[in-house]
Amino acid sequence: MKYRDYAVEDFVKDEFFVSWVKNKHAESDHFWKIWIQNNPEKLETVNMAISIIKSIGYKHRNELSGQEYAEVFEGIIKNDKDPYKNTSVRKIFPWRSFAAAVIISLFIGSLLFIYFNRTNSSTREVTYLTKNSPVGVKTTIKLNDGSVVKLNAGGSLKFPDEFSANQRLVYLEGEAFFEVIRDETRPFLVMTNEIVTKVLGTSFNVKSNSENQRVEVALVAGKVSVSDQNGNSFVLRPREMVTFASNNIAKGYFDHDLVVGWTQNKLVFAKASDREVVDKLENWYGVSFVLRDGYMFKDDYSGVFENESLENVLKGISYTSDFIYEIKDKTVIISH
Amino acid sequence: MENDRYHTSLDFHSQKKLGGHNILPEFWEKKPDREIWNLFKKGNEQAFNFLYKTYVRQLFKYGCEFTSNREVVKDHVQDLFIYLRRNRAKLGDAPSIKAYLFKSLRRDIVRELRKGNRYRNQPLDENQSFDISLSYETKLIHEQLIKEKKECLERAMAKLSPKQREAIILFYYENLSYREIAEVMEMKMIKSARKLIYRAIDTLKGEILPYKSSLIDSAILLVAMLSFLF
Repeated sequence: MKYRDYAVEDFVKDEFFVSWVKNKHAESDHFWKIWIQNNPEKLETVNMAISIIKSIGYKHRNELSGQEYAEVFEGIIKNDKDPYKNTSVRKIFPWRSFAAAVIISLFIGSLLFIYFNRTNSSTREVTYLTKNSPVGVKTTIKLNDGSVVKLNAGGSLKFPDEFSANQRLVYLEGEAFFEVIRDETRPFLVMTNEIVTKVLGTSFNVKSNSENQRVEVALVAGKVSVSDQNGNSFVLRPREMVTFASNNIAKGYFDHDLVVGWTQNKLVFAKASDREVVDKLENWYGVSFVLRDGYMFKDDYSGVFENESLENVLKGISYTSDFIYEIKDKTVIISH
Repeated sequence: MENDRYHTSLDFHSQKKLGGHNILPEFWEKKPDREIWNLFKKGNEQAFNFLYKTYVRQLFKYGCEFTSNREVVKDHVQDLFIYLRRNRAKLGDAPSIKAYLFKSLRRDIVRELRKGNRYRNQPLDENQSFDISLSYETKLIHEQLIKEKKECLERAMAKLSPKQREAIILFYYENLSYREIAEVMEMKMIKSARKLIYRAIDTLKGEILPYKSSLIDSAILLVAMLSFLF
């Protein structure tokens, strides 16, 4: 087919024609100028093809900014000239520094791990002991550094039979009150649900719930620091408490009796929900509740019981929440 | 407009870099690719600067059609130039520098997208990749293409396959030949690149042809309206 017979779509397919349209200085300029002069009837078709070709472009306007232009250039030049700085200079984008940071910390971490493992294992094997407090029972544990841990009912503490030279590390599930003997050379660390509480010597309460991943650390005396694995870290002063929940972290003051009353056999309810009342009583007295006829305790129940029997506590609660109770061995039956 | 900016930066850089040597940008622009490439391979820094000035913006724009993460694109463009400088003595021939660079960038980005790094991978939606727009900017277009027809053509182009759209951009906007398109898009035969464009144009033909008649129609309508008014 001759150019004379070309339609618009034929012109736009033609490499020779397209390259002339796109490139003003094309060698073919002489040809097209003369060809058009000699085929004036094709002028409209040619113009149509030209206008289509020239109008085609990207819709997205992704332009390299002046700053980016310079940054990329600098990255290339610096990388080239200093082969020893390859990794740091060339990688100017954040994800790369991030990756580098991760690798470096992994490296340092593994060195530390190897180091500590060696110092530990070279001295002797560490044996861990685990103490459990059954429901209804509070256990007091004396550690070999002289620190005392009061483990609330339903809790469990894992600790080495002898602490290492550089730290005192224990693992806690449930709730415990710690009275730690001061030893500045060996910080005392409590691990709970991926939360670490670090102290030198002090008394504080840690409560963890593995079900909802909630951890509460409350300080009575001294100073503690609490950190999670996401890099959040808090220093507590006496009467301050920090709560790590699955989706938020809160720091504030706490009610002494409510949080650490249990260590003095004070059973404390503060605006407790129906569920909290039952859970607390079940754990405290080692009983299980049966709620008959769809009975529910009144919500927002508040009260303090010191060294009271289960019967007295139930009697006390029944003054405000109208119910009848029956204690059969380890079962409490509540009904209207 | 883009051309103007490019030329300004070209002049600016040339004057700074070349200092006393009064070499005009045209010196490089008029050189065939093979010659520029050989100079670059021999370690000529002016040749490298010319390559960067000429192609870095084009490469970036092109790369952005594969991923929505512009950092990834910048990174790949930078890595490409670093690679070229490091291995310049070992590089093969590049009869078309542009096709060589586009091919390398495309291959690197596509390879990373396939690997599936979830922090970096944000592949562009296939429907958005190589979206084409028909600009009004040229005077010629203003006369020839009526707005609504242009929109019809744009819509028809959006219905083409991403590969067809890519080929169209490379052919008409980036001014690559069929041979170069085949190289960039890693097709074994030039015929395949030709076919890609031909099929696309044949699909669009319906939108291209009616221009003329509708142009005449609206001209008649305009004349009719004017005569009615006066």
